[in-house]
Amino acid sequence: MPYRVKTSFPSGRFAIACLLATGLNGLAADSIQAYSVPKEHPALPPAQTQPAADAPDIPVNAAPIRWTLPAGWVEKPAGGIRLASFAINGDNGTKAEVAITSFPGSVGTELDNVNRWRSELALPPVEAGDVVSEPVAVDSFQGKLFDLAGASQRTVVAMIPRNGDSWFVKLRGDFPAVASAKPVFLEFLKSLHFGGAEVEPAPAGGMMPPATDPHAGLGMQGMPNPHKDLPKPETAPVVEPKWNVPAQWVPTSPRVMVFKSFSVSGGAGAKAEITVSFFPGDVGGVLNNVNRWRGQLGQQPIAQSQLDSATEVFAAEEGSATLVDFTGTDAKTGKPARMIGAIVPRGDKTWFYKMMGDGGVVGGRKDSFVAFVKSAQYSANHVGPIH
Amino acid sequence: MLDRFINFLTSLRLTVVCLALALIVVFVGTLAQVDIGLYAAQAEYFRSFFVYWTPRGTHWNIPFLPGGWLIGLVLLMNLLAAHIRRFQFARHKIGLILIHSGLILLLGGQFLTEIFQVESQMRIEVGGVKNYSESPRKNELAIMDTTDPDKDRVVAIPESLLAGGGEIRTPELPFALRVEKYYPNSAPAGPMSGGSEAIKSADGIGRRLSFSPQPITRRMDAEDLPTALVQVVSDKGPVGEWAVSAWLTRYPAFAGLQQDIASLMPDVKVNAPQTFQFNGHSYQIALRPTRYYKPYSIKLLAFHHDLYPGTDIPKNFSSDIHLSDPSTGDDRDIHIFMNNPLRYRGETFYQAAFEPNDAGTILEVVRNPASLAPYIACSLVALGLVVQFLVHLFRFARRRALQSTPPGNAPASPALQPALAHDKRGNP
Repeated sequence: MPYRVKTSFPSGRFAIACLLATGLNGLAADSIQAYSVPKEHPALPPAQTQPAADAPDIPVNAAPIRWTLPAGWVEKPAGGIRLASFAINGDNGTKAEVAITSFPGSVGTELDNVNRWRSELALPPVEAGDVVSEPVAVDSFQGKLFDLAGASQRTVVAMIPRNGDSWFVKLRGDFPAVASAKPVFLEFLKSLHFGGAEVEPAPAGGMMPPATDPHAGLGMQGMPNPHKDLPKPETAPVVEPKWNVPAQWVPTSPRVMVFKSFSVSGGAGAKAEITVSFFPGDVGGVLNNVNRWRGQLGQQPIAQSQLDSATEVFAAEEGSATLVDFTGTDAKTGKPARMIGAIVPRGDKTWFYKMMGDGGVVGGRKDSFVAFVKSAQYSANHVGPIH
Repeated sequence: MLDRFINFLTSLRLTVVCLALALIVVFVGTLAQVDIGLYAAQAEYFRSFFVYWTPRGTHWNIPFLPGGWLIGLVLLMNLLAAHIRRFQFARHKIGLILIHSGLILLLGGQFLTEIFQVESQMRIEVGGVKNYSESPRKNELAIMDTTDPDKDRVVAIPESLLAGGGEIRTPELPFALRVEKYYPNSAPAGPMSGGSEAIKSADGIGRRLSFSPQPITRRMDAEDLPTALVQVVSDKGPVGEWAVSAWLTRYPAFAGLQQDIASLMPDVKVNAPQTFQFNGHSYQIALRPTRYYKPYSIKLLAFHHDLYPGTDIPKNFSSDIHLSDPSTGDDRDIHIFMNNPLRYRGETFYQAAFEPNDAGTILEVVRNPASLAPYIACSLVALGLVVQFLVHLFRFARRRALQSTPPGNAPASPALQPALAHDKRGNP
């Protein structure tokens, strides 16, 4: 008897079809797997094969910090969020630890931080009016010192805002060990110096070494982490300045840490890229950033005394800009290249403008680049259309 | 009832319906590529048993079309059932049987390939050793217990389970994982691009970098790089919260990100493991490319990028590797070059790509248990066609011979028929 297609679809068959659909779909579904594998062979350092100049236009911001190591303190390997770490042995087997950390932004309010430190000592949170602190200065930057005592442990923290970043130097441990270490800790704070790229490592003390494992030691106490109270990076949307973008510039997708980027083309495939970025504070100062740019063109760094002759200062719509113009070899491509850059400090930020690429293209657009930098109005209230 | 089912399964009408549905699925699936891209369209329409429709604002999956796998499977069953039911062995049908056997093998082999073929990549830096390959598209949330000095215990959770959010519990882990946020595609956010919607975490690298959601890519030359915010929760409360992202584990994304943040955060190593302690055990947490571990290891001794003399035109790419397999005792050097892959333990290693500055090699690793099926199937079909042609030829020749031979003077042997026929035609 031949099969005939029916116009109606019996409910029993529909149920079977649904079951089939579910069952067959289950065949293709993913599931959790558990297995043991031998330890991985240590891999070669990643991405070290690229020249350093392949990095985008990011100012020198991660300032190293120097210190004089007090007697009796044992320096531990830096890692995770800790830029430096020291162990202190007190009397009768008591212990304490000092850690230096730095975060971009304000990382929460003062009250948030105090209550986070209090929770580490199993103390109840306090109101803003109950926060007690005393002033402290680290390398001429004014901060606050907090001293919190728990039942068996104590925490002494210096919180120092610097160029838009927040630095924390924290002494924490058993009560007797912290009590005896506090005077040394205060001396240690005086020995701290923030340094830029020009600062040579101090052989007597130490300089923040690049961490090999930024996450080693996170949650190292093995305790439940009251992470809800921990500071989080603060990132606020920024209003775009009002500026006159030359018609020939083609907007491109900006890379990480770049605010705006454009490309311009000349003949025969010659190109140049324009990037705009900004960072809080002076980000290492003009000299460091000029030398960072020189490095991208394979040029030797210049000294402070040569800065005036190597740069040109002009007045922009708002504030003044420092202009540089270099020719060299692009360390990324190995091809001859020219770079015109402008550094514009504005309010609590520093803006960086850079045009880099084929010498002919860059040279031909120097005037329009300078006009673009000059036209920028950074008024925070501007919300109109971008020109 | 059984008869009806057999009639249904063996009917030519079913074949026609399946072919018509295949036409519709191909048409609709091709159109869908415009919106969801090639890879997703293939997965949803062709590499599936059913094509689902999700009404807007719901999480329902309502099947509305058969997928490519189901149509192929039903066609295969239809062909097999019809053969079994109507099979009658006869010498003159040997060719047809061979042809249909070849078709069945082709369909079945392709079905097995679709289900069981695994394509992955093994990226090895010069001097490096790998015992696993990685999926070019799939990701997994890996929780590794690294306490044992000799081996790591891995719990791999497919990315698809993160997509639903909520809490993931498995007897393999002494804690639960709470997926607080999940972006199927994301981008690292710098200090100036961070908007209100982003993943930042209380622990690990998410304190320094944040990740913003991105639309799912439809481009062929791009891939989605998901990020999730995962909280580890024990019975006593939260243990920690980490941002896990393919940006931190998938090559070349992590290498590019490392360069991008090199000046700003020189102390941050993006692909370093994110670790935590729990109950005296050390754990690592990562959203990484799905790994396929091997019982053997491969070391890259050298990578060669040969050019034609005096030009920048590549002449050959090749990898010198050393294979060590403790289970078989294999321990040898092998040279892999273009179109000359290594075939080992059911997998084929092709020279596929390389890292910038020739710092490493990228081998395409293909496991396909049905890889021989198309070769055998095509041989069967070809043999069947030849046999069928010869059968017809002989029959035709014999008929001609019989027609032109006077009664009572039949040829002695069929093998002589063509010659006789020719003689009759050529020399009447």
